[in-house]
Amino acid sequence: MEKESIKVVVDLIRESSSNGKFIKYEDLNKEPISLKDDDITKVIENITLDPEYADIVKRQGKEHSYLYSNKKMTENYASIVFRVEEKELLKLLVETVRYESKTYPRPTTISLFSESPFNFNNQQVCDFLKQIIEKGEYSDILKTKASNGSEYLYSSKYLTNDYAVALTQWIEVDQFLTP
Amino acid sequence: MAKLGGWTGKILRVNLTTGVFTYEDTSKYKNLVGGMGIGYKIMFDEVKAGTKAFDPANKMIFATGPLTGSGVPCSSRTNITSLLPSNPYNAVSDSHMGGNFAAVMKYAGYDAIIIEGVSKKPVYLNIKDAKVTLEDASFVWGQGIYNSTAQIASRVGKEACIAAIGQAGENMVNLSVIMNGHSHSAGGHGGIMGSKKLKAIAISGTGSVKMAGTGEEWYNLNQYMLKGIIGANNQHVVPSTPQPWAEYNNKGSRWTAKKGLTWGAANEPIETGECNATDQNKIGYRTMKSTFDFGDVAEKYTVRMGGCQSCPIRCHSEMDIPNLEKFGVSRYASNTCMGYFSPFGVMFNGVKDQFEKGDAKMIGGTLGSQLADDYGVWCNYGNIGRDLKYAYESGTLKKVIPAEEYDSIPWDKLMNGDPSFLIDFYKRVALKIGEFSHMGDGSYWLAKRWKFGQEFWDSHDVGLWSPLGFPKHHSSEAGAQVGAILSCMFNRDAQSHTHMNFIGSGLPINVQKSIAKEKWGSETALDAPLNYTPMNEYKAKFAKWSVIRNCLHDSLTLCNWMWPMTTSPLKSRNYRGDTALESKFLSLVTGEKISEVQLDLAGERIFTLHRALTVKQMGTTDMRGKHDLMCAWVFDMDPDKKAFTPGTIKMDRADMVIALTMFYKEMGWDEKTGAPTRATLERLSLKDVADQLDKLKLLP
Repeated sequence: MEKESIKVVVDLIRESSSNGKFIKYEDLNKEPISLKDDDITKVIENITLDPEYADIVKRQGKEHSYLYSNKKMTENYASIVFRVEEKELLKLLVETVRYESKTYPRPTTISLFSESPFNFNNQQVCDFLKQIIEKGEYSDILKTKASNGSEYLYSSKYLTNDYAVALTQWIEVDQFLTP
Repeated sequence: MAKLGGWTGKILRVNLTTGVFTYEDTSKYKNLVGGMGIGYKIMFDEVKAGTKAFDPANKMIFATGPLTGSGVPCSSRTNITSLLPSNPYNAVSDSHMGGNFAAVMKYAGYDAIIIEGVSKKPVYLNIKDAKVTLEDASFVWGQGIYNSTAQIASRVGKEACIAAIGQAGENMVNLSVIMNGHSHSAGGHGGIMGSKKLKAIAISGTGSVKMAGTGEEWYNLNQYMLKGIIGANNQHVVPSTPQPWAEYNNKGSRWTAKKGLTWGAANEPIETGECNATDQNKIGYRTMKSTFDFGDVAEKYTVRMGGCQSCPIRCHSEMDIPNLEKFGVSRYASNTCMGYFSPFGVMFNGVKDQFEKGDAKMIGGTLGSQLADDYGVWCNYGNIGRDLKYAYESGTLKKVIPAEEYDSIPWDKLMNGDPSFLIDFYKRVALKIGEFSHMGDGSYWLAKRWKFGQEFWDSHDVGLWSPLGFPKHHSSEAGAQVGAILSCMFNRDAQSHTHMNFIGSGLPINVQKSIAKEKWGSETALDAPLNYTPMNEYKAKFAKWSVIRNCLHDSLTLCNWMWPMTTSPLKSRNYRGDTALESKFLSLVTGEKISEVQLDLAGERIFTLHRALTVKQMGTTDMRGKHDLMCAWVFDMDPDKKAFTPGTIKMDRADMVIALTMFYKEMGWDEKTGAPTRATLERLSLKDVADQLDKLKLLP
């Protein structure tokens, strides 16, 4: 396999990663790369062996295999994109809320999920919130509301209700009183 | 002094009484760096205790520092030092303005300009390099800042940078500003210029700042900072939305650039895009402040982001809102933060959407900022609106204002959310029309005059931090005892962002705590937001470091809304910034090597001098009992919650006593009173200050 061909593939992966996208293996069949299946396997093998391309990461989904550059896309972001690609959106929402409640710590604005790379629509969010109430395994995911009407979710595994309510109000309203 | 880089070596002294100009060597102030350091020393040495702000004996010092105008990122700040009329003791304070004024002052050849005496008639000071004159200002006396600036520029040349007062300053309104450019104002001292009949200072400078380092050294250090350390406005180091290059994000971050977000009113809209942390050519796109301040509606009215000389951050939003002309003001508005929020706060009953859904805040803010800026009215960091709310809702206004005057005020506009109320409001305050105009006295004097009840001071909603009449400003809501201590230290709201920029960086708490451990000795120096713990010695170190850096920045001069570079947006740096950058730049500019520790010592010296000056002006060593005070709501808010439980910023009285004691100890001040000791003053090369305080029996 020519080095030049491999570089073209790597460049595509890196550029896509900069733009917040994975490359699926089957994307390499399509224009402009147009590789055959056997060649795709060879290319990925070569990429894996070359230290110059150590940033290229493979991730295996249920049906698809994905490639991205961890130089251009952080692992946190890649985790979100993976769930979106795998259409595990409810799982993604719950993971995100739990992660933010634990890590920052802070409740998660529901508006986050309309941003890229989530790109949930309003109906999806409503459906997920219903499912959260119905499914016992997500009983730690609770809602708060700021005085300006903005809604947030938090995990009671990591935040008490008092704390989540106060943080919600701080993030949405109070911090702007002393800009 | 002039052989060193950075400083010009020259201070201009202007006596308005005699019309005489004299010049001094900056070198005697070298260990006080510049800016605030020069200002405080001159005030200590030359202005007697007991002098009031509008007395002829008061002075004003416009000062820069060795980094001003040198090209260091975020370095065009003018520090203005004088007595503060809104303070009950008229104690010293410093105000600051950005824009170009500071850099041009250096290019004209001056480190500082001292204003003393009183002119018999309105004048403006005209400086063109070495040529200094006092010119008749009668043609602009009585006019707003915008027109005055334009008129003066038409006489001195459009390349001049002009700092001016409006009618508020001329009329010696306590709450008045000095402003240069279209929106860069310094709060609190405009009336002093008015009392001296000094309308404006116009400066043109064709010189440069001499630098010891080579061009290559300079370029490398700048690149080091711009490519991996500088963040967005307020040194926020994560984007506000998830982005591929970033591990973290934070909705409250001012790094608001993202795909599809545009400067919508530019001539061909310009997309901010996602601004990767290492792309230094896009730093100016990171902070889309208009939508941050006003919401999505502001996007299509945003021409660009603007700001100060030598600043890549660009935190002033410059807007084109044609509908503003319906209120009789310009369609072009620029400002940021409290410049917009304060007028919106005056409209305490809210503003209704005016021309489209969601535009209430934008119209109220951009209309009000123009009115306030043109009249030159200050807001006491937004408290003027809360003062008005209290005065109205308590029925005080109806009691104290004569009926005819009361009926002439358009209360229906205020109550119905019509922002044209602001036109009437700012005019009355600036032109001192009627009893209502005492709204411009400042909270302390207003409360005294109108006999506000104790509930005014105790109210969390009113938000006064101190019985000296200034509000919270990154106080207990910002870093628990750290913010609380800082807020007690000055004679107005602290204007200290060192701690707040770090706390608001957007990084997870564990990352921040690990940085706190490296800087101040323990993770416990920093509490999680709204989840506080009792005081400890590390918080005292954090507080000391924060206030020292603040003073350094106001002396060097650097923008404390950006500096210090405590954090970085880069994971490859483990999110660590470089807090030695100030000393690195200073060493390069001056040619004299100075370490981070040595420079911090200079900051400590400057801040302790401020403390000594406050002791002198208040005539007491009892800083703990008379100065470092907090209003009751700080401890009594959230009555159903206990301090140090998650979800409240409520502080504990006994704990704050300990906090102050620990802080005094860190500073080397007397632990009982909080006054600087002779030993500390001498350690900081302030023996002359100690001697003077000793003579006045003001050493603990």
